[in-house]
This record gives sequence, structure tokens and C-alpha cells, in this order.
Amino acid sequence: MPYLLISTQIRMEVGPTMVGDEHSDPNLMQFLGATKRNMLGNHFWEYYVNDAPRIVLNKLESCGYRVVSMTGVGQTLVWCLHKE
Amino acid sequence: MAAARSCNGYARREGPPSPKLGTEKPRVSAGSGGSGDGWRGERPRSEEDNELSLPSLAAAYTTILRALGEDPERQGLLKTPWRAATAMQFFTKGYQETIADVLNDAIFDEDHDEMVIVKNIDMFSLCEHHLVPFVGKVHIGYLPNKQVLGLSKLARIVEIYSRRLQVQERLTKQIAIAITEALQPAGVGVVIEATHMCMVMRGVQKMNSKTATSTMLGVFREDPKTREEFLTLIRS
Repeated sequence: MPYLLISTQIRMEVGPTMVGDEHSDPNLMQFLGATKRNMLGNHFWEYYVNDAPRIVLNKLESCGYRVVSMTGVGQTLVWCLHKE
Repeated sequence: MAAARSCNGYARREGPPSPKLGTEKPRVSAGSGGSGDGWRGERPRSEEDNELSLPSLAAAYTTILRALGEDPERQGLLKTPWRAATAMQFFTKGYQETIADVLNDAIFDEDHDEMVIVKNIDMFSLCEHHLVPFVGKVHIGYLPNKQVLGLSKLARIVEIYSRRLQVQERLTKQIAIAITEALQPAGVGVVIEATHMCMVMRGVQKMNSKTATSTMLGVFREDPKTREEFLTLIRS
């Protein structure tokens, strides 16, 4: 599973950071300390951590992920990472 | 009765099972235990309870009148304790009903996925802090996910939750949660604008102030364009 998308909203200095979807690797999610949740009203599950995105990016680099690109969608900031 | 007494709250949820889109959704059955409100709530009060508690309510009002310095025996106040007790039971009749009672027959499978809005629903509720009315309008919008609700049922949901001792923030959220649990729509938006007599008649005594609260769930929360469409349509 080489690709990963992480995102945060409004400010990048503070969490929560969304780190996975329903089918994300559970081991990786556990490594990040992520919690799985289904927000009331949404039809999907997501993994999130309370850390700021920089903390998450540093953790992901330590297990081989590199940032491929970054973008903003409305008030959401998204980082795309890839692992060789 | 004590076990079923409603605190007019809603249980904190760990995360409901996510419904798979396109598969048949089971109707939520009433009385399947659990929290004291919403679909699974038990009725904390019945018509019978109303009749049984009327004398003690009236006696309590007589005590209140006396303590306020009035004479409960004067002609104008003779039947007031009984009238006030009946009125208070009417103002809190939301405790006698559950959502399941109202909604089970009015959920229809419909291939409609555009926004449905019912706005300007009149709402009368009681502030739980001062037992004084707050009055306003409720606007509800939802994006159906293959199931729609009878339009009058949205107003009935408002009635069930507003005819209680309430806080406007909680009322807004309860209405949104009830619709979400009933239909599992793509999103729900509820906006309430109300005037609080506790601010008008006492305390700060600001007559023209209004309190607006909103709850956005699902795509109404996640997608700014959907939220914008809803807010524009309820404004016009």
C-alpha cells in the first residue's frame, strides 16, 4: 500500500489530522496512534490523530513515506505521501 | 417510572454501524432498549401519569401562588392552579411521545437525492433554566439517501423535542440526530432562530435580541457548497 493521504482543516499548526480511511493498513494506523471513528451523519469511517500534521509527517518519514505533493481544497490541507 | 424518567439528553455514541449505500435499510424498531431518548427511548410519561400527577401539580401551583404573596382563594385565581398544571403538562407533552411513534409509517423509499427543505416551522419551547418560553422558527434541510420522510413529520419531530424543558443548542442537535437516525441521509442541516423570554422579560431585558443555533451533519458539515445552498434557500 504505497500511497497515503493525510489532511487537516483550517490551521496546519494544530490537529486533528485525518490519516486514513476505512481500508487503511491497521498496523500503520496503530503506529500513528490513530483512532477510527464514524462521525454522526457521515457514511464513511476515518482514522484521525490529535497531533498536528507536522508530527504525523515526521512519524511517517521514519517508516519510509515521502511527501509527493500537497494541496489545499477549500479550507482543507492535504498531503500525498508515497513509500517505495 | 423512575427508570424511564427522561433527562432529555442523548446518549454519547461510540460510532454507529455505517450503512452500506444501496442496500436495504432495516426500519429501526421502537422500544428496543437503550438510551432514554430518540428512537430507542421509552416514553417517560403517559396520559395516565398526567391524570395521576395533576392534583399534586395543582397543589404545587397553589403553594407557589401563596408564596408569591397572592390569595389563591380570590375569584380570578380559584381555578388557576388546575389551569396552570394542565398548561404545563401541555408545554411538556414532548415527554409523552417518541420519534418511533411518529415516524415509522412515514418513511418512503424514493429515488430522490436532491435537497429537501422545510423552513419556518414555528417552535414553542420552555427554557429549562427559568421555565419561561422561548419562541422561534426552525429550518430543516436534508439530502435524502433513497429514503424520504413525510414533510409534516419533520414538524412533528420539532414538536416532540421542543415541547420539553429545553436548551436551544440541545434542541437543535436532537432534531438533527433524530432525522439522521431515521433516514440515514447524506446530510442534515437544522437552523433555529428564537427569542428567549428569559432575556426579554428579565435579566438583561433585551427585547430585540435573537439566538440562532445550527447543527450540520454529513455533507452539510463536510461540503461548503451544500451548506451554502441550504443557508441561501432558508434565507430567501
